[in-house]
Amino acid sequence: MSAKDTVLVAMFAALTAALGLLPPIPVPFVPVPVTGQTLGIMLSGCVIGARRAALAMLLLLVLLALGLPLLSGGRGGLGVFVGPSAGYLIAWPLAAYCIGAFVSRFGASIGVLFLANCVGGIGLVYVVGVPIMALVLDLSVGNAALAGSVFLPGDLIKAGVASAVAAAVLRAYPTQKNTQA
Amino acid sequence: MIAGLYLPGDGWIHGLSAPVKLGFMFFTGLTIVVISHVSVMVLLTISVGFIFSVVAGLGFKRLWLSTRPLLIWVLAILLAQLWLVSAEAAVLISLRLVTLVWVATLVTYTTRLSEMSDVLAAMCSVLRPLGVNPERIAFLIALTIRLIPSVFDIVRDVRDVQKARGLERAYIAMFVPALTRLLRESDALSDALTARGFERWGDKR
Repeated sequence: MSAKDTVLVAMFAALTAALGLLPPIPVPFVPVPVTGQTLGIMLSGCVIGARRAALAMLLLLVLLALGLPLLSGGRGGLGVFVGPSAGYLIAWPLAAYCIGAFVSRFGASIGVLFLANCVGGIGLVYVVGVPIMALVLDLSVGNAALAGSVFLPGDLIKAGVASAVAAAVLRAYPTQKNTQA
Repeated sequence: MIAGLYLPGDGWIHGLSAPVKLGFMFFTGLTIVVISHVSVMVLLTISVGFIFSVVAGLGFKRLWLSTRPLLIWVLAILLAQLWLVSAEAAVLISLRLVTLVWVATLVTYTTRLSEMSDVLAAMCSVLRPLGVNPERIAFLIALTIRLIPSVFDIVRDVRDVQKARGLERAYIAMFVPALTRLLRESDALSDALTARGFERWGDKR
């Protein structure tokens, strides 16, 4: 890994952690608080490329497992890996990789970015997260999906914000253009 | 600043080595998943709760605090299982969840960050033949912990600036400058690392 890879991986892991430290953003008509951490995954995938983004998310999971309280609400430690939302966490590196791969394959227009964020940042995260939630809570996958769907409106808003932000950032700072080292 | 969840204490659980605790956690986790009898599960939950709060000296307040985020899930389990299966299944699954989380949280609360890092380092050394460089990983972890407060400050700074302009609800106007600043900082930092010979770190080993 080059110095640049190292710094970007650390920076975006730190960004995703810092977004969890910010107070949750209240959004009208959404019953659950919208936290910034999904935004961190999406932004990493869009901006620093598949491999680096996946490593950044993996690094964040390692820091959590070591006992740092980096999830929103100051949660962390090994407990979060056996709870009902463990699957969502495990999906983060996969999601970031998927978003990055999508963007480097199909370009960085805002439409592609939004699609990438929906497929990777929402779809893939739910595909991994919901069955594990079903397993932990011993629900049927259908019921778990129903329970998980309360997060969907917030996640869609975040995908929209992340896509608009990433498109603008990639324009404003083009040297980062997903160049894989 | 960023601090771990470790809580200092002088109980004998604090004194156990991290690999022993992790092994114990793994074993207890398996046991919890296998148990299918409610009365056995209740007994196990009570004993884990007792070990957590009294033997490890973490107190009942900590036990409650680590249970609180689970309550909404327990409620969901109770509702779904009561409706679909039976009260017995609902209690069993709720206790299983709570006990698993207690055991894992107990390990995190009683083990220093440095001891956990040592376990990670040992795991990384095993992976060294696959091209994993433990020194680089250690550097990456230290760098990330160092960067979290700075990133937080940058994001908060930009948010304050935009708030002064009446844009506190414009999330796009907030994140674009923040992210651009992060990328600029990253460039400066990686130049500084390169200038100090980062690309060849660990080559002589």
